[in-house]
Amino acid sequence: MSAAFFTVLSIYGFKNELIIQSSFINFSFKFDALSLFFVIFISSISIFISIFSIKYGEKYDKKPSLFIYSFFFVMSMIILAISNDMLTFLIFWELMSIFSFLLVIYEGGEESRKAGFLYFLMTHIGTILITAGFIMLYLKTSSFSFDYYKGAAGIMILAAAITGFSIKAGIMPFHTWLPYAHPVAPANISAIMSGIMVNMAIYGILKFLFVFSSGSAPFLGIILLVLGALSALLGIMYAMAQKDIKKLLAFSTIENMGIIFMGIGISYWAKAENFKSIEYFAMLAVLLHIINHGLSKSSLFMGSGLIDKYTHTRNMEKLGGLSKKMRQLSILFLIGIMSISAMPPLNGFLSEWYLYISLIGSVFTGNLYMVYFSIIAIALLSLSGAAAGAAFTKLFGITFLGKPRTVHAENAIEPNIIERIGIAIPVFLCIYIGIYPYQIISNLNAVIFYLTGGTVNSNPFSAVHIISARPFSLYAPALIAIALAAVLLIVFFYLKLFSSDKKRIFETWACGLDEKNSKAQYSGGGFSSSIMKVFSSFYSSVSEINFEKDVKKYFRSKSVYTEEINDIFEKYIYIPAEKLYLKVSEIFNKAANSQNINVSLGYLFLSLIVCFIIYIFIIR
Amino acid sequence: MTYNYNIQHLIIGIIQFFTIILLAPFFAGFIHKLKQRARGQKGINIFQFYINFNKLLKKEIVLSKDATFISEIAPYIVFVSYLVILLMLPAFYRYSLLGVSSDVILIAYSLALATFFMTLYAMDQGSAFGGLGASREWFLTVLSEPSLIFIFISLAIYTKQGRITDIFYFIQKGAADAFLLGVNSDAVSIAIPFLLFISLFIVGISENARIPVDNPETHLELTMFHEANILEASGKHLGLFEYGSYLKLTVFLTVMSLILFPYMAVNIYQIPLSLIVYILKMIILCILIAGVEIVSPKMRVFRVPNLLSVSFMLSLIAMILSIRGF
Repeated sequence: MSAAFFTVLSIYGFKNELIIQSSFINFSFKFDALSLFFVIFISSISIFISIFSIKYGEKYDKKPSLFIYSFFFVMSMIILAISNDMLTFLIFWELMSIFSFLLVIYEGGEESRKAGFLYFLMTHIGTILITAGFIMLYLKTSSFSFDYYKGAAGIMILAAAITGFSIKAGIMPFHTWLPYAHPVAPANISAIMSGIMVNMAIYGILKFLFVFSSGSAPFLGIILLVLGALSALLGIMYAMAQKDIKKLLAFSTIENMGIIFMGIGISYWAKAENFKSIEYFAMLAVLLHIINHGLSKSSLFMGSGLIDKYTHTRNMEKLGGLSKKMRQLSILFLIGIMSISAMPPLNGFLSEWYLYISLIGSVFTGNLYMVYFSIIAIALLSLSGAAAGAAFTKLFGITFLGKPRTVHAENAIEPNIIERIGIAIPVFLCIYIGIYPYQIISNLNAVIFYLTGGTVNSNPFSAVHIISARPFSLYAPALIAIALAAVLLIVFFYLKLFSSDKKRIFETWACGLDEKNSKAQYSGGGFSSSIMKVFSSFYSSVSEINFEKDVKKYFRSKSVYTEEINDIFEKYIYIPAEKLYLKVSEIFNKAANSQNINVSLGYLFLSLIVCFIIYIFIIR
Repeated sequence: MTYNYNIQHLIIGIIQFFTIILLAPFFAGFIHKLKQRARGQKGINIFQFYINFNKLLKKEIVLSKDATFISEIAPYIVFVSYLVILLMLPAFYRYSLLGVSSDVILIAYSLALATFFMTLYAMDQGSAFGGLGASREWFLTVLSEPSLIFIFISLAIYTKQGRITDIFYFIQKGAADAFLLGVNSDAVSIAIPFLLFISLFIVGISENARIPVDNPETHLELTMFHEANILEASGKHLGLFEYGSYLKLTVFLTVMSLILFPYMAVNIYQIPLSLIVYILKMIILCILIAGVEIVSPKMRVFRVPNLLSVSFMLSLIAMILSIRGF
């Protein structure tokens, strides 16, 4: 697997447009700043994942189709990023979807088949909408090439394409497939899907909004901002309720996609309203967050794969105390978690900070709608930031800290060195980008210039100017990191000199009782229950306690507690929609399958008329 | 505003930093003493918390046998993240050491960093108390973080500055212009600081484990928030956590004092006066907090969201008021 991915690097060879002509179709490829950014992003993260998979993939050696599929999966994403005409784009988009579908159903079993089907369905609804967008573009420009699409897309085209891409990105009303599909795939595939694939939808949106878009539709930016803020909040709120580690991470992907969408929304709005510096900073936040989320999420998914591999469970209520058995993995996991829950000296905070700055900037603009919606977005973003801290404290605390809850967790061992290296590289990059981002910001300036026509200042000590010429604020991560390290050293050596160094190992205090039952620790469900109770309107949870009726209260031999957390969108939109669809199709079925040939001919005539009407009134 | 560091700024910045650190246990002890006297008890020595810290440093550390590396590093990181906030915060001098990068959102997230490590510490020993404390701590943080960020961002919008040093200097200058020189400045508003002060007061009470939300003196499992997190800590770890909580209280009180009456020295000659004013303001705020703690009963946990949503609404109103067209 890994060797195959290295061949990807050879693609960097060509610089200008490349057209492969065949008898009936032309494939055309072109590198621009945006596609180069995505190619580097995809290939570097997939290299980390493939290093990880050298050892982790051994358990799939008996069924090696995994490696073939994933090779084509990554290749199709890379070619997608460099394709320069509509047909190439759609073909590789479809290939990406199909190979990821094959990988979702790879492990087999009822659960993954169900998830795979849902994914297949949703992603194809998305593809239909994207295709519709492209067809409308073709009708407008009568060309397949992206070169002719610049400034051609009107509001209908943008709406269709963005809806299609948001399904792939897992933005809130369309997210239902994501928490099912990401956890059932093998961990390295989940890492690719969550770290990379969802970002291809962002690529499409950036291409449509900033390259193809014909100009001003500022309300579209506001819609994206609101959708993103909702996904950010609800995604992390649902993540908090999960027991399955990978499901928690999948919901967190929805949150981060929401944050990226917020950035895109602000940037597009600022572009339409001509607030230059807000546009650039929001775009910087988007690009940085793509990188940060890709790095930390892929490392966390790989880590969760290792937990699964060495303990045979992903349920955090059955884990605990892994930090003692998997010390190095837990350190890497901790840094990944700090990065993704936006803790200051790391990279996650950097992109969120730029997003906050652009949100404050759009409040400054005094534009009525944007002020209103950015205040809401600031509230939702800060709430989701704190909730992310809670969700990931739960993940780390329940899984890695405390005492092992079951024998599975007790028997865990430190993962193989190659697996740890695969996680360590993205984690190291998280720290590097967090502490010294200036290099990467000055490189990203090329992409920002391609998309928006301007650049941001990457000088470490020049303050951010958001709206007027006056400097507004500055977050100098290098300075903060140095201050943290210096103060830490001073405190450490002060205490080394002036305090007792004696240490005693003793058992945990449990009110003087001798507590042997490790299940008496705080559970993950208990951890999040108080927050969930306050925000109970977001969940439609059903909990139930079953016990024997006739036995006295304190002598029950057995009581069963079940809790079910339902997605409100699933419960109130998707399941009713499914029922409605079944009902309607039954009616059609009855009507269409009549035995009478005259009726069938009548339908034929009717559909012809409908086609004529569509041709005359819509297409022409 | 531009930052030109010279040796004077550095020296006064260092003096300011260490003064706040040294004063922090005094403020906490003062509140404690006031509460005890109001209850009719004799009360502790005002400097008791210094003695406690010194004693804790001399004691041995008892680590749980289930503890991991988190127990070793978390006390330091919690303490250091408060110290870094203090490095950014101006108290009685216009510049602070890290003033150039003292962004308000950074301060809010640094507080979250401390909470993050404190709750991880709580969960490290596998004690049910720790899990309970961590759960409750995040419960409060999730609810109070939006209002804290709203307070900071409305200050930023009100003054059109993003750095906390600049924000308070701007308010101070505007107020001085208006009241001393009679210049009509747009930086003068009574309503916004008033609303922000009340809002920050509520957030400060909930974040600093004060009655009506939490009682800092209790070790009863039903009522613990903050104490449940550090129940397993001992020796210098406990000392760091305790000192960290004094520092956190001081951070909140300092921001409140600056909203209440922004007076900071702009040169070295004003330092004595501004230091006295700072301590006076802090003592007034301490009396206020002690008063609230004495007269109010402790709330049920699930009524705390109501209190915090009041604070959120007040900060929202302040933010709306502070939006003035550009």
